[in-house]
Amino acid sequence: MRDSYIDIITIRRKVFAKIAQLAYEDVDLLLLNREIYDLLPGEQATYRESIFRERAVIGERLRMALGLNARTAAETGAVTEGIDIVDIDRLVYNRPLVEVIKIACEACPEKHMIVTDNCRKCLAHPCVNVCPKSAVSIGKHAAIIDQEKCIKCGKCVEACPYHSIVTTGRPCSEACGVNAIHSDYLNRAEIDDDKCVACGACITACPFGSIADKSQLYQLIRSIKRGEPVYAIVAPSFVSQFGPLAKPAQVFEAIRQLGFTDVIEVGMGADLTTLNEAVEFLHHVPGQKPFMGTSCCYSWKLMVQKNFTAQNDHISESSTPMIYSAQQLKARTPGAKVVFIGPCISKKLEALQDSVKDSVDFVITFEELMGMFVAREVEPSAMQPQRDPAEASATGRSYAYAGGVAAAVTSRIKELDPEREVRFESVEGLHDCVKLMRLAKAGQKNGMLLEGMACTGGCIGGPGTLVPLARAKKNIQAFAKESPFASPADNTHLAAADKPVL
Amino acid sequence: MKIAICTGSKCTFYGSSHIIESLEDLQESMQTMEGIRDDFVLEIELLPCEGHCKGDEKVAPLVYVDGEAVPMATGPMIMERVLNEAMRID
Repeated sequence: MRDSYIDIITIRRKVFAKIAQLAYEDVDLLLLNREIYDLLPGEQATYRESIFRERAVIGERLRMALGLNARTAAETGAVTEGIDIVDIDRLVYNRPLVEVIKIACEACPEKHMIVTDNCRKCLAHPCVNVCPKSAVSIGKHAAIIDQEKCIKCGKCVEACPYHSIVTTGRPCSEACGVNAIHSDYLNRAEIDDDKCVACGACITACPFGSIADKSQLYQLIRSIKRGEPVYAIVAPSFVSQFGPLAKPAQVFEAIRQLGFTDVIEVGMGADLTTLNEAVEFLHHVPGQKPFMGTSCCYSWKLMVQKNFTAQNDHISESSTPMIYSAQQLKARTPGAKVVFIGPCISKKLEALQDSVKDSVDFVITFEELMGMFVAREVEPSAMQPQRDPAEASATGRSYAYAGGVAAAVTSRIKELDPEREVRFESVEGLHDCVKLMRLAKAGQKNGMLLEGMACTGGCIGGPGTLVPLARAKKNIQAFAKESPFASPADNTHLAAADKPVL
Repeated sequence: MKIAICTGSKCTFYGSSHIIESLEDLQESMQTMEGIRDDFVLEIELLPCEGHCKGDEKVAPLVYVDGEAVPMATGPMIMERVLNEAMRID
């Protein structure tokens, strides 16, 4: 979430609230066209050059929020086209998860350097003198960069005393840590699904709001309305996401108000991840694995899987907090439907894996959940909950921010083997995850525990969040202190048989 | 000067969180900004939902500037009100 992109964020959120409202109120989806006019009334454009294009774009947004693919201008017919396949009460998934809305993409130029009006055509012209490719010359009015020759080294940008040369490019591809975005035949962004790890950084970065992921909101609400026992498992980063006055217990109660049977903390599953990873580390590092990568961030795992095949086995085999939580819940409550609610969109992909799909029925983001609160006019801060959430240990709750996972696992290792010195490193942001793995591959991280978080700040920086990092972290740390369990080993919600031993 | 910001679901969803961040950031910047009156104090209050937005799309986010209701408020709108007051010359 990038706070200053408020206008784009608001459009996306209006779409989520609208889809939630349609689902709750049983509105016939064939009337979707009417809803577009409700969202964008009148004759004048607010955001783009024409109201026609605005309505076409929001139509595709609504379709993606329903789970359909975004269409190009060549295919854009009625907004209701093919809508019956998503008008159901169980998960639908049309590949890919993250897509460019082509009719919204403004085809930003790829990375290059340009000379701005600041250029004073100075006598010293260091831009010319530092260029290793003779790409800069002095023209009639200003310096000129020959884009054919330029290798984008940035020397001229640094050298100019007037800051007149700037680097510009595509926010989406700059945000992508795995180089998955290139250009299509109209120079618009195109995501290579084989490279994409669904971290969602491009969705957050695009200043035109042209990239989106698909939502399962509609089908989830249909499932709740059918009367199925739907349980919410909520990621540790939920604290303070739903308004500054809403306490954690009130958020859980508000979720129940939406029709969920009950709510549990994914921090409980995080405790199992900690217990398992600590034992795994002691057993396998440095014997079978030269180093061990943490397992909780699915985008980090996918990045390793796709780019570091030989090192893939060095990522922990322990399950993720989402999977452990879902399994625990389903084992205790046969017939339960489980919804993971988190800051993350790659969890939507993780939940589709063969080994996971029976445990997790739906995945939605905090932002999508807030759309449900708005549609139902539920006010978390007005709730009067009977009890506080108490399913996770302090370190399980700290999984929410960068560094929290490594801290949890290393402190558990210390409990098991006080003699063992564990070195660890935590990185955040997919670019740095890739850098860390390059060093690990080169043997420079042997013996270490490596925590990779695809999002800057860790989960609290995820694309589906609602509050800035600093505020979220402060509140999570306070919530962690309130946990009844200091160590995951003390967690009485976990059966002794489930807790691994050395 | 007192700015009261509604933090109900709808106001939070449609921008009050951004307004809070903007004002807290401004509060910090004002400490070193020139032309701020010595006696100027900015008080930020967070309000629970009072229901004004229900059934009306033209309210959230709702902010009160010294008691005066500002519907569909934005960060820049409120920041400007604050700075105009903070830099007022009597």
